[in-house]
Amino acid sequence: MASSLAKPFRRGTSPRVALLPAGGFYALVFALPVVALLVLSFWTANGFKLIPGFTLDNYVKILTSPLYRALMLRTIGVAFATTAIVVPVAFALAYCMRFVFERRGQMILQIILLSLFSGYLVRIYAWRTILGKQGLLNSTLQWLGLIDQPLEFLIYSNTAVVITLSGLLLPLAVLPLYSAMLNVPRDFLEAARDLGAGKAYCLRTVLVPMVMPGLRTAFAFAFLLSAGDFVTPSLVGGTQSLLIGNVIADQFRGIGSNWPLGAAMAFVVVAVMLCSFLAVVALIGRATRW
Amino acid sequence: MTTPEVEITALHKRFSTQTALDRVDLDIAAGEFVSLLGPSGCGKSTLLRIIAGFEQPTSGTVRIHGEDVTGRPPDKRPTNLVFQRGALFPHMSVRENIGYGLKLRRWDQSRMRARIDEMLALVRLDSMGERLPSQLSGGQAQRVALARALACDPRVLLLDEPLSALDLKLREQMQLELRAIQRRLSATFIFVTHDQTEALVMSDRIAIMNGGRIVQQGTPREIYRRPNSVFVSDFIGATNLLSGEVVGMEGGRLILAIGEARITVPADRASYGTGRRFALSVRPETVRLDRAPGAAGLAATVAEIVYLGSSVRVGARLGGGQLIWADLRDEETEGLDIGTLVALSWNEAAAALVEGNER
Ligand SMILES: Nc1ncnc2c1ncn2[C@@H]1O[C@H](COP(=O)(O)OP(=O)(O)O)[C@@H](O)[C@H]1O
Ligand SMILES: [Mg+2]
Repeated sequence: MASSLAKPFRRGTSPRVALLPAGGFYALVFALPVVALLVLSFWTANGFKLIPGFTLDNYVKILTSPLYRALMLRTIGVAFATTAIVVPVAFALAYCMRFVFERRGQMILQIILLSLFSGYLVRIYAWRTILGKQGLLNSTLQWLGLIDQPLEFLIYSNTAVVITLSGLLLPLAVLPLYSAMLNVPRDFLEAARDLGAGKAYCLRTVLVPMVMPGLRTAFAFAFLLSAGDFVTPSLVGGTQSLLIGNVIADQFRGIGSNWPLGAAMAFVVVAVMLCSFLAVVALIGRATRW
Repeated sequence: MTTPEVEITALHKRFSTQTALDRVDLDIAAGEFVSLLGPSGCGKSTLLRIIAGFEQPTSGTVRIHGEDVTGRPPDKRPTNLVFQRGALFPHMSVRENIGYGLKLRRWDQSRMRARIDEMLALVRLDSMGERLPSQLSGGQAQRVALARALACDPRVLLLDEPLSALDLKLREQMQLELRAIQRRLSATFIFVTHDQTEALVMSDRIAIMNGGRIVQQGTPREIYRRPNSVFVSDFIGATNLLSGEVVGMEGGRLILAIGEARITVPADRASYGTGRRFALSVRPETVRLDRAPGAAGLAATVAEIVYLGSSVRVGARLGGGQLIWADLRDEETEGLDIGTLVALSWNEAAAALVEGNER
């Protein structure tokens, strides 16, 4: 993880030359498809036939349609809710791993990595069995006598989507935070306490700014990946929890597909998400200026 | 006697598997510069961190200015700590670092600015206020760390080997500077070091630690001249430790057998009964070396000659095989060669009987 403590100078090959292989690979597998998609978004489709051209119709349609606007707002809402759960929990977990468990934190890291290897779909289905009407959570609550009837909102709802996405993305968000915290010697936190800072003030003015790059990455994982997900809503969401990702996916497959429209939607989503993301990051940066 | 500024009583600290501090008692007067000196792992940092509030003692109390602070968190104590590697906040400028504690105390802007200026002047970094810690040299960073800790005007300043990462020249300069600052402020400093020269140069008083205990306290001179154990005499400065046995008394003086040789020492300090094994600590600079045939002293043969520039260190072997080092001026060693027969002597007041036989 890049860190603000990184040395300003590097020896040997100039950084520019060293970037060439990675840069070339990046151009090939990322930039090229994106450019292709961008061009596509100005085309039109007739059935399965793509008609090249240059029209802003797709964008106009997206920006004026109430349906797409509603989907977009819901997507942003779900992404924010997920992020609001994932980032603080990941921060707390990474903090414990680094500063409370210390060496045993590495063991927790292994478990987290292992859970990531278990696969995306498997984990969504696992959440379904936990949240279902007869699922683990409902049966446990009923057994404890806390509820009489199963909680219906736990599955096939926006709540289910947010919980499942949080579960999926939490381990991913812990990694950059933990790695950033490994670069923060305990001395810095102790120095703040020694100068009179309470625990919260010390976190806000010292730890958070020092792990900012990691925090930004964790934030990007949680926010952007939850906004782009379409498998989770289709497996644990209800009829009212489809996200913009589902609609985009539909534009690229089967009957009623419209590739240019899908491409335009993808760009609108990316633009909106990027702006929201940058706004929130700037906000956090301002809030933690000591 | 006035109450000590810092009063440490029967302090005991156990970590899960080992005892880090074992019944430590230490009183420090206001305005005193006290060094905690000892080998790595002897518990110096642990003691300092307990005073700062980062560790809780297993038992015992810490009082500062008459007030029991045991159990108080570090942010509620009138102490500040200078860390070994400075621990300057990398995202804040030098001024912001120094002002961190002041801002927490809700000082207003103009008062804070004046205090930061004052601190920068104190550590002679007036023009560096806007720099980031990454733009400072090691010595400058430690000065800022000192300024940051002193800005809040602590009753006691704690320093955990703050100079150990600096190279020798800079370290020597900073030792004098730190001492001068302490004198100017009449502040109470507790300074941790494993470097005996550093402790001798800077301290009003040294507490020597070993294995979690304070084994001797005193002024640098007392400690250097009158070490009370083999450990202390060996740890502080270079010394000759002569091991031998008490073989008798003679008019208030002990007769000691060192190998074949017999010498007498005043029996002033400890009671050493006949048959006791002991060690006699003799500093190399107090050893005289006489080449005249029949001169008084221990007969020895020169075995080593080490040229040190300002002096020459000569090793002479006694009949029993023990090597004794003498520091001589260059001109005193003219004509001296390996194999020369000499007589060794020293002012008996300069030798210290110490406990413990092992070296
Ligand atoms: N947090 C800790 N947990 C367990 N053991 C510790 C801890 N801190 C120090 N120790 C042990 O206590 C002893 C004293 O350590 P320390 O005070 O750091 O020594 P010094 O500063 O004199 O080198 C050492 O043996 C060290 O291993
Ligand atoms: Mg230490």
